Amino acid sequence: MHLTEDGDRPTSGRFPPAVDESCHLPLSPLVVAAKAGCKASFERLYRQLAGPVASYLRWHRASDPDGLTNDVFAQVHRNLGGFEGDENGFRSWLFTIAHHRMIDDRRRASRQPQFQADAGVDESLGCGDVEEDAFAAMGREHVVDLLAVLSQDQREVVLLRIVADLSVEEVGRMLGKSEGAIKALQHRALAALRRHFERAGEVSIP
Amino acid sequence: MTDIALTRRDAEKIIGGDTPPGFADLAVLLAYLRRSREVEPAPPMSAELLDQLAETT
Repeated sequence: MHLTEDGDRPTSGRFPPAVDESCHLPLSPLVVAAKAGCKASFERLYRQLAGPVASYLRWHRASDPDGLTNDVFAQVHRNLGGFEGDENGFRSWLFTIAHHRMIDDRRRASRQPQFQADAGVDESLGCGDVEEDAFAAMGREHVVDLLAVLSQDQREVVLLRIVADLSVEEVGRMLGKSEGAIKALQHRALAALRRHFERAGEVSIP
Repeated sequence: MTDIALTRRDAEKIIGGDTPPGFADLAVLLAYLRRSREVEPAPPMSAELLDQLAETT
């Protein structure tokens, strides 16, 4: 495994190159324009944030991440007029809606006959190379298994912190818990995963 | 996009350094999850959402 100095940008071919975020525009002006009825701005918000929302829902093994993502943005569009806040506030609001949709989906699924949800052979993690794609798919399956090591509360906190990119304070507000409780869940989640890796005794993540 | 999610450094602070067994794998897992957020493409807009946009904007 190869990590850069800060560990966040692996240089190995095992990971695809990050999306060029220079094409991302600041959210606040887009939100203001979308609130004023600018369709193009709303579509731009969608293009920038629908991917992370779909990713969040996919890691939670939602039954239809892409469809739910559209539902989330439909709700955002309906209620955008009442939104007040900055960029972080908008992200937090967006993922709060996504989180509630995910919970609704989980409840629906629990009432229906169980089919194995697509664990998400995530073609987006591939690079177009057959070997890389196979590796990425295998990796995703493994990560799904690793997330299953966590309790539901722990998994929610980890995914909201990392995939939704929310702060401890925002996650606490979203889940109705104190910052201390979120930090404790985060700590227990990371400790549980580290212990799991320690027991496995080998490099487990592709 | 803000950059306030859990990073390796956060994990080091929480877990207590990069020496405990299993820490390196944990750091890779965090990086993998982060990367998944960045590379997931936006799904196509559904017909319903496009209709909604067309009606109200």
